[in-house]
Amino acid sequence: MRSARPLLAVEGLRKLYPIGKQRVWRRGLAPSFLHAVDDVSFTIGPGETVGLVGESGCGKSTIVRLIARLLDVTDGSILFDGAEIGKVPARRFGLAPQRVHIQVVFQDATDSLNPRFTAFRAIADPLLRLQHLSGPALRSRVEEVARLTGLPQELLSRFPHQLSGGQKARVGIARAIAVEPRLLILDEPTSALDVSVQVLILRLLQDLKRQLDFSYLFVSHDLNVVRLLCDRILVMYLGHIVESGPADRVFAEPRHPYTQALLSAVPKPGAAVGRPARISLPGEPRSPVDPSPHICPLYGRCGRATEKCTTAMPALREITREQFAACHYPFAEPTAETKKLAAIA
Amino acid sequence: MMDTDNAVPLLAVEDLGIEFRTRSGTVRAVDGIRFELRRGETMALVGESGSGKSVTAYAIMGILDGAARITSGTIVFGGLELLQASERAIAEIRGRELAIIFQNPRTALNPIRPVGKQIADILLRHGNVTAAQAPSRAIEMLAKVRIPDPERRARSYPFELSGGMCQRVMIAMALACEPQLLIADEPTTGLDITTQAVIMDLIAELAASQKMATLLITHDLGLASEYCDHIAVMHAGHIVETAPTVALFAAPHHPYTAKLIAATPGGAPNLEALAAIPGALPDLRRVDLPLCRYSERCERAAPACLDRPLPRRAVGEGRGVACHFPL
Amino acid sequence: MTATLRHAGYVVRENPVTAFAFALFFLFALCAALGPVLAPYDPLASDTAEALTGPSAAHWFGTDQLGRDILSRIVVATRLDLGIAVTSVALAFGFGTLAGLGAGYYGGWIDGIVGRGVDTIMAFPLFVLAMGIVAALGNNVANIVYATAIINLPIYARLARAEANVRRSAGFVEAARLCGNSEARIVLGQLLPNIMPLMMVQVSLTLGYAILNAAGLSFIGLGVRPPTAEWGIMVAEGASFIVSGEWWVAFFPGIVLMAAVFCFNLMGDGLRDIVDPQRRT
Repeated sequence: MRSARPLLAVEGLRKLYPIGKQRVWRRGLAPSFLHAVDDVSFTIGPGETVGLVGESGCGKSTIVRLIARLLDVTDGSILFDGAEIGKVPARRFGLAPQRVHIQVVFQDATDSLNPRFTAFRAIADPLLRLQHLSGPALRSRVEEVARLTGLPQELLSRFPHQLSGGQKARVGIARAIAVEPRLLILDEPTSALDVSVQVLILRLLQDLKRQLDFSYLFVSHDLNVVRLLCDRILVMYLGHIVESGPADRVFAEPRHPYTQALLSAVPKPGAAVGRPARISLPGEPRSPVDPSPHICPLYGRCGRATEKCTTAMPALREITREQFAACHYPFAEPTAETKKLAAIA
Repeated sequence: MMDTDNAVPLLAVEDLGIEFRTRSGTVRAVDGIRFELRRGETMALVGESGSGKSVTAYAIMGILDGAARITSGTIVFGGLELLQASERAIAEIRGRELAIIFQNPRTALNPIRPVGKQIADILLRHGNVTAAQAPSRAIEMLAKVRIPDPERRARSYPFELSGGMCQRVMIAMALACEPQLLIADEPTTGLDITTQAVIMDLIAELAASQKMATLLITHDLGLASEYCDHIAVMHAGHIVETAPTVALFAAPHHPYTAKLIAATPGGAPNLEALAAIPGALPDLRRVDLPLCRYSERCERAAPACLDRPLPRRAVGEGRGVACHFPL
Repeated sequence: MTATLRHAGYVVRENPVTAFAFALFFLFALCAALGPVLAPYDPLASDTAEALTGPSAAHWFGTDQLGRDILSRIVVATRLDLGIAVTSVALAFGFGTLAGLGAGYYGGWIDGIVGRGVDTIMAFPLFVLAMGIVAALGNNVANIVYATAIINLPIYARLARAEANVRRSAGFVEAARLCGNSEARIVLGQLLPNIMPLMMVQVSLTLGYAILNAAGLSFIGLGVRPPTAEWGIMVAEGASFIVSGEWWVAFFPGIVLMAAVFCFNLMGDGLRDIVDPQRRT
């Protein structure tokens, strides 16, 4: 009987970066901060695949690093299976018992593999450091994991520059799952791969999840891929979560204006005829430096904005069953536009 | 002499072959491809990495790597045979009649020169403007590509601009002299989805208003299908199928095209429906490559596919497929 | 390990220059190891009757002003010169690389201290600094080693710092943290192997400088004292005889000195090719 407690519960997470040097003569003035992640809360249940989507600058890479404990938290809590891990400094998290259970597969496999290590050594690294395996036990575990990820045994003695893009991706996945984590964070794992290889890797991820019962946090800018793989999705904009809900419902009936715009920008092969007009967001995103806590992050680009959007920050609230949006004027009913989007989704 | 009659294609590539000499052998990157583009048409060259699409684009522009050798074929642009023309003749039309925009806009711009000056450089080289008029014309171009506050932005350096804005600057540079053909080599890779949509819409709009033909090089079938009338699918240096977009998706004739469509996430209802493409790209350095380079991955392959020369069949209006056993 | 040896064999076979350099180094190493055994005469035995005789069947490289066999002195001096060079380069490489890695990876105050230290050393003309150190601490082999090590340290520190700086934000460093590696382990176990190819080239160049340094110090009288056999001293002592026609006293030690520096420089590329896995196809 699986416990109902979420595997990961993030509450009020914030990450602020101070801007500019603190000079002696500026001491009287308050420093400026860049709000990379601003008051983010969400959960991931055991065995769930949650997608995190958003464009560059939305904060999703920062969230990945905060949850993986590579970065320190400015504010808020991160509960992993009930234990507060946000308070453990990133420097010391390598010794924490939860280190084994949270692993990351990175976007650029070439960059994330040490060019001086063979594939075997790369996969063995977490087993050596976190589980203290050695000798024949190490060897057999590495080979087993390589088999699981579809990596031929003879490739284990090769260096990254001797492997193809798809093979490197498999090495990265093998390394991440070797220690049997419970939460696997995938940071754009297929965006650097060709379409044909991408299919194989996505299938592999799906199979692994079924066999080994992970939870996934799947971060991607490719909405088509997210739609195929994820149970729930979170949409981020400028450090905030603006919408969350079951993946197929968010895609079919987006509630937040930003989600709508995002979905309308996704190219659909073969659907050139009968496409709805593009919903575009004019202008540029607001500045993430010292944003006003009262103004909605989408204000200035949103066609539905009123004065209320500048005096009260919209909170993430339930619009329809299980669908949440942070908007004062969400799309509660399907519009003509969203109906057309749903038709081709 | 530019040929403006629409019955004659603006760009005609015939039997083009390109090789690269490398330390580990000769790579036959492109082998016997042919396609045509008429004035005002949009066409996409779609293929995965290694298919030869970028190499083809560079060959048309005449900016191939030093290790490349054109082994066969002709490229006729507006009546001028590009592969036989003198370097001077090509330099005259390159930038003026024939323009290209690249991937990675920030790295394609000169990092130490303000963007306004870079646009002015092109105008001075190819357009009929004086040195006094060039700066203001450059600002006009920036406004045309909808960069806000163009007078101030003209003084900015590429590193001060976002990826999307850098791409707009590149488009401004490419379109400054109102070329007849714009080649866009993966123009939106690395850009956000919403920026991608805006940039592609901008290109489409400007192309329509200037009656400019567009050749889009991309690996993204979805992008190609949204913005292009015609699609040519490339595999391992061959064009395996050309067709109008709607027809291609409705009924692909080449097995690779069908597999490519089935592997694209955008079109599949769920993960199980996504189909992997079996096998891998053949090593183009081999001397024993089969005449159909897809045959080793193809379920329908027969002995004939290995040594019978590939047919280039016309299968209907504006469609062609290079297969002995099309679908 | 065997893969490395096989690759080393391939590198040596592929490039004749590298093969030549390694063969020459092997010859020098042999002389260093077995010097006294190989030398035909006792290097310190003087025979004034035989003084200043040119190259002949009995004395291949001739004799010097005290009748000592030059060939024997050269062979025996190999141990000293090579020993000084290797030890001082090892010290410079060891301390310099560690300091540079720490400065480049951690930044902050470590970078500040290492930076100022390196700047201080480089503020002086390096040979003059070596002279000063040896003059102040005394004329012996140990001090020559220390002086040579100190003046060559900045180059390693700077190189290591620049490389660490570039790589510290690489993906594999983050991945290493996820695997439970401590920061120290990342620096030593993950970053250091990556910069070794570059360092190998630098080591070979520095070996050349170190020999020249030791020889130079001896030449001006600040290095090894007579009657110890050392290439620099031999060139110094022989210099005055060139004018009177006894060219061999300075010529042969000079040629061997040059050959040693040459050999180390040529070895640099070969070493880098062996150490860098990206050279393997």
